[in-house]
Amino acid sequence: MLVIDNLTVSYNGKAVLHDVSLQVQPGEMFALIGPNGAGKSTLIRAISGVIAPQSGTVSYQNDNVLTMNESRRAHLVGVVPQARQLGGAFSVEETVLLGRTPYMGWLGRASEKDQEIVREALVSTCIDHLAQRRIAELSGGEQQRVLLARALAQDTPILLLDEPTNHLDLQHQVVLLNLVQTLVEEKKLIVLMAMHDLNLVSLYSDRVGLLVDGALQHAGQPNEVLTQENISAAYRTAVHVVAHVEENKPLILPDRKANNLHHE
Amino acid sequence: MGVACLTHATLFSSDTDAMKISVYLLAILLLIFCLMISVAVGAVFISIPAIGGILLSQLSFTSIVPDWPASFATILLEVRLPHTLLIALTGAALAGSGAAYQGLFRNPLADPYLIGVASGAGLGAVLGLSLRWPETLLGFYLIPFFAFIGALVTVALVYNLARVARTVPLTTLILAGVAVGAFTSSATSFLTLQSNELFYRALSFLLGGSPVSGWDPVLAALPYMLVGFVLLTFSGHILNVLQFGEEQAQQLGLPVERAKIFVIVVASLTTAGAVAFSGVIGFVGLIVPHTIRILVGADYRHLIPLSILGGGSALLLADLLARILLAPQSLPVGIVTALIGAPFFLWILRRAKRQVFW
Repeated sequence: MLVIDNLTVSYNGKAVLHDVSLQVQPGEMFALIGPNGAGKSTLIRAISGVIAPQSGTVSYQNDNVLTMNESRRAHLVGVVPQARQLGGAFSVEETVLLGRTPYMGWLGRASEKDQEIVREALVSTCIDHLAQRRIAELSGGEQQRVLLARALAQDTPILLLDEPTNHLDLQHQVVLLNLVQTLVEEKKLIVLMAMHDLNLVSLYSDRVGLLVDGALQHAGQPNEVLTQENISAAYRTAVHVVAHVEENKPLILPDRKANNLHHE
Repeated sequence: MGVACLTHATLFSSDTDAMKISVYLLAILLLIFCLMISVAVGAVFISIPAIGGILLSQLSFTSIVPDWPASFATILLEVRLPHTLLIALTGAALAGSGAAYQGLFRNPLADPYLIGVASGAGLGAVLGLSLRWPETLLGFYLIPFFAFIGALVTVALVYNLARVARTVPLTTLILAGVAVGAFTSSATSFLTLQSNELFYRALSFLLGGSPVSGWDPVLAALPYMLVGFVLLTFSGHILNVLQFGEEQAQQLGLPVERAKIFVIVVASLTTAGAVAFSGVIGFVGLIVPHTIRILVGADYRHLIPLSILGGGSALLLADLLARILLAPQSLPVGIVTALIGAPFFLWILRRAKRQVFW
């Protein structure tokens, strides 16, 4: 179980995460939602160890994830970052192989097993046909899948995803989330995912956390968190919540008329 | 896993290994060719069979009847051979460390010369030369060490000056490098003007010519460079991971701060070995890694060793030009590399502007 306990993160003396506590079980997909700047990415970066929190702990099976060395942490936590910086001249295959860094040592010599795992990751993310292409030549959606493949190659029990469906069209959004869902079910992964699309969150996540101004305001099942009251208040936008035609899931629709009035 | 892919076509190439081996073979053959030409060509031409004969006759168990003038042996063994080896080692060191600096700063224009590291090493070396130590053999071996310290101080200074938040942008890197490089060059000139004859020796050094000849500089620089070459080659994977930025590198399990310091120290060690006795030779560290990158791609595990091999060949060819352009007078090789390198640099600059990757 991934346990985040009273995590507080500050930039330049200004707290961007206040006392966030949550737990994610193996086989559970936990979605983080909230307006821009609410601290979703900060939480993911803090858990992955790249920004030091002011206080609080992150632990997995009673091991403190934040105090272990980089290599050990990379055996436990894989990240699909919001890709701003990519080694564009690398091929897809070379990039995904970097997911094996925690297993390869300083020389980066890939074993048969490493190559086999890379191959599986490429196939399961549907980018095996792009293996020899350069990252810079790919579309945003293809790059996103490369980053997912790299995180899968890392073969960790915990997977953190920061806006994984950004830049993806509907088909690829569904393909990607179906894949993550399959992994969660089959490999009992712990998945923590920051997402903007509330309807995809409703359809795919087991639990949802609503972050507002760095604090976790609500956490629970989609039905409990994705309510008209919670969403309208958090996003300062009037919304309607309607029922999915087939599943027992809430869907969020912005109230165009009410929001027009709001502006006048 | 039953995921429906939209396209199916597998393109795992198994012949890339064969291709890579042939690239290494080509690079080694080119280097051997350049070494032979460099040894053969000069004020007197020594034919390849004569070179072979002279070298073999050095071995005690062979008895070869010389069919070449006796002076050829002296020219070859005392002048050409050490000069050629020093040039090859220097080119290899500059290109190898150039490739490493480019990877470390994630910047295609980083070169030991452009970012001021070579000038810093030069200042260190000149300080070393100015002491009376060089007259002793131990002092000679300490010159690369002085250059190493000079290079380390400079690279730390430039990196911190150029750093904006977590990245080192192209413009600030070049500006900081030029400023620090100008400062260290001026400090060197200042020292030189306070001159005695030892400093006079240092001046020709600054023009990118070798002020000392014979085997001593080769032997003094060799340990630094050999250690540098091996460790640079080992740092290929680290540099690969760093290409995705420090944050992702850390998430992939790389101890980023230690890895960066490792690469900086190793690249500076190699640069120092090069600068200590060959002076400041610009652009080799830029041209060679870029050419290799265009030919074989961005994987630093291959880019670094191939740059080391190619750098040796490139500087040997530049040195050959330097020796024959105004023969019998010979130019400092740094002038030739700058004459060829500056236009190449401009081409890279334009290419970097057009493309989002390099």
